[in-house]
Amino acid sequence: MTDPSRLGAPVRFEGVGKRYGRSWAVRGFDLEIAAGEFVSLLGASGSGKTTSLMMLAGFETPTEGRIAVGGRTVDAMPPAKRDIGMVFQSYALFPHMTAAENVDFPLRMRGRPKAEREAAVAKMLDIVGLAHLADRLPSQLSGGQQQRVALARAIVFEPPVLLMDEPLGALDKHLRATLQAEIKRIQARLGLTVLFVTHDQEEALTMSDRICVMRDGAILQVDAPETIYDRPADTYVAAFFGESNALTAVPEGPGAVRLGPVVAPWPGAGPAAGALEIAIRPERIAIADEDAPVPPAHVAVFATVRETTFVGDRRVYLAALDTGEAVQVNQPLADLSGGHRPGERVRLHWATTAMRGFVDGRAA
Amino acid sequence: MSLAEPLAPARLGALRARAATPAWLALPLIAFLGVFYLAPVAMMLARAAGEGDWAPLFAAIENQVAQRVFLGTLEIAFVCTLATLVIGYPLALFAALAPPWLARLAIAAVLAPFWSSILIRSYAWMVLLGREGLVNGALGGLGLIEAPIRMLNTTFAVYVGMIHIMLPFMILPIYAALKGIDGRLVQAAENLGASTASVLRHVILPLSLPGVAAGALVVFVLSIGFYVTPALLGGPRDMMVSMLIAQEVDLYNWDLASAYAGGLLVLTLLIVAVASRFVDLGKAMGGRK
Amino acid sequence: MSARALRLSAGLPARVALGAVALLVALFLVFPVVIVIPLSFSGSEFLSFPPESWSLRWYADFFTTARWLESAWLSIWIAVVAAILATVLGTAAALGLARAKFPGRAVVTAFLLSPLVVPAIIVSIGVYFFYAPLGLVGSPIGIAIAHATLASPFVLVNVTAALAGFDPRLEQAAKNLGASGWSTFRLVTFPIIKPGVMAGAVFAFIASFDEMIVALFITSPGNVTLPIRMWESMRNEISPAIAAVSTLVILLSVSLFFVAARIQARAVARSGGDR
Repeated sequence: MTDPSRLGAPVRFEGVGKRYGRSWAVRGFDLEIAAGEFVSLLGASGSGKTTSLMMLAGFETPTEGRIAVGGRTVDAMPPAKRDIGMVFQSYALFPHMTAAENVDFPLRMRGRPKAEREAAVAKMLDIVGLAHLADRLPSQLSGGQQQRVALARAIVFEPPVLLMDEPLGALDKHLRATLQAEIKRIQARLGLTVLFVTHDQEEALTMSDRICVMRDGAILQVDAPETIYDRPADTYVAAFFGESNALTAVPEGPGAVRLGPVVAPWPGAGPAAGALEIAIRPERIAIADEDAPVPPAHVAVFATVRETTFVGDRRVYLAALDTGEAVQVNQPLADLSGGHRPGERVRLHWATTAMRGFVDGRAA
Repeated sequence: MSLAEPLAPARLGALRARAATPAWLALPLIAFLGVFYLAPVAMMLARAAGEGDWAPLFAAIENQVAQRVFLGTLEIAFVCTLATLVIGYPLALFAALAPPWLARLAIAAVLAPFWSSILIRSYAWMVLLGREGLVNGALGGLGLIEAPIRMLNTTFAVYVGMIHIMLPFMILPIYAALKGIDGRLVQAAENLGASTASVLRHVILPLSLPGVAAGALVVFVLSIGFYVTPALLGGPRDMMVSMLIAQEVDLYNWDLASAYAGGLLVLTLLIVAVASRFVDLGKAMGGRK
Repeated sequence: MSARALRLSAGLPARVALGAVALLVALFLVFPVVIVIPLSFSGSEFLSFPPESWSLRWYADFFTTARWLESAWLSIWIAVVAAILATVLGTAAALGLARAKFPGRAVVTAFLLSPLVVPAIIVSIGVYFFYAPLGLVGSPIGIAIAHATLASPFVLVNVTAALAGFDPRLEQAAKNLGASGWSTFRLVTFPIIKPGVMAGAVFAFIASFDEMIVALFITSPGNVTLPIRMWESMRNEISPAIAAVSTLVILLSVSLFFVAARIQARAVARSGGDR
């Protein structure tokens, strides 16, 4: 993943904590980011993601722990000396400077020669596609253009690490998608290490090498997007990403659990006693006629359709199991024909490998 | 679906920006005012204390002329406050309701007095209210009076001059408060069947009270300390505390002048202290822009 | 935005009545300010309105009388010094108080703003006592210092207002991009709050230029400021000469306000108007 010829430097948080008064905004924060890696901090407001970012940038001082960039501890370094690029929430562009002057600012602060600065600014504005708007003031630029200026300003001085604090939050959906792709492209080209704060799970899934899910100032899970989605560490993460059905199961001897009337093979150890919560993604459940055959290694249950909704690329069913539990099924539509009606008896089945078990909220 | 939990309020500290400018920057001004403003006032107060027996202060308190002047000053300040409120509120309301160009014009009229000093405005009233002045001329020309009325060097002239000078201090905070009212509240009231008078009485007036309170405080406090206007426009009976102090200074009664000044200072601070529990003074003074 | 401008579905008579009252009050406010202007062009020794004849004699009188000119220059000099002192100290204090939290902050702020409400006559007596042993009575610099204490709240109020609309993240961004504390102030904070600083400086200049009471106590026969000269002249006679001086003073104040407004308007235009 790392290419030594490129900009990125590794970042390391070691047992970092931040306390305001008596409450901890962040605690026990351990995270290693490889050079050139794109990591998203994902969580709801108040989960501690922005605080972590601000500590790395130097605007907050950790109450405990240590932060290192490129192997050097930065805790005692003032923000101006850290050489960390940052795209602020709502950009923080200097309103009295043009786009070019904004991008030039970090180079000016570093005392680079004028000719070199001019060339770098021109090249950077070109990269973000704003060469023709160099002399505009921020107030004369659209939201997307301002975002690009902010990005150009944050990377023009070739920082080894780039921080982005909800950089796309203020933009509409279409523009977000365009800029997400653009940011990824520039990051890949320059080999930047990126720490990206967002509360949008879809954005985190599409952009990141790894996602760090936070809640109440603590890390819940750090993994690649696929792993996070497929093997969430707990029910909170499972609910945060996409939709999920929760069914109650009880252990039925070794290697099996009982789901209502059916017994399903269970690869994991399972709890010694008590209930097990089984999570299944709605798109992993197949819906079929009552008498349809069941594929091998699938668990099948009978259910009654309660509601059906057509959502364009799929049909969403709400069905009731005979145990009374409600289950959502997302049926991808190969064609628009067919479909089951409310009141109809159906058979739901899914691969045993589609089931995730949780005990007391944690993955089992 | 991405905001899976409610806001955790304890974490807002993370968003609070750290002060980029250090607090000690306030020290030079604090020191400057401490030496050239607080220390002089303290010296003046010490003078009022006499030789520890507070003799000047007791002499001031027992002086019947002074008692009358202090009460008269409070009366003038009170009348000015009431009059500026009654005269100023309609203009503030008009400006708040008017379309932008008309509102700008109205506010320009309110700010116009700031173009000239208190001294010049008092002089203008001397000219207007004199025996041969414009007001007498106009009244005579209209046949309303046969002989010129004596207006200059009367209490009436003092009131006219002071009200003119104090009006902007009343109008601006009221205007700011009125502009802060959400127009949808008026729509809601009208939709619920309120007449114009009811809307004014039950919606607009109560919501503009913070502005009225701020304006009243500023006008009252500034009126208490007036000197130039009553000295130029008033008669011998219209003496205010500041004039009394100046008179004692002219007679080289520095101790007594200091005692009166101390009394005026205590009075001013007392009013501000009591009123500031209800009014944001910084905002009220900021309305002078 | 969600809030809607205030509108009242009042009937026509009510609206006309309100408009008429507002017009009368506006005339009452403006008339005494502008009346001195035609009076200053009067040709006669006595004040009458409208003047019976027109001339520029009172202006000629002003510009050829040494004591008027000396007083005018003295007042300008004092006001410039007072405005510079008040602006530097007041701006620094506003920056210090803006975002810092420390115990007693409210008391400190109240103290720094108190010259706005404490009657001038009180300060005058105190300053006289304080200056007498220092030999500052009668010195222009003494008057300028006293005026700076009275004018500093105007700077404090204006700069504080400018800082209230200032996004502290801009300072964070500057630091993050490598700017030192001083560079951050010089290149980011100051340019953005400059309109507030300039407005404060203009208010401070005018506060000093118009101030009479404190100056009256610590003046000397050789150093008479313009307001004192006008005051003394007014107490003797009501001559059109004062109207001419007043007109010139108004002209100076209006041009200064105009300059301040222009600076502010340009700043608003730069930062994107009503955005």
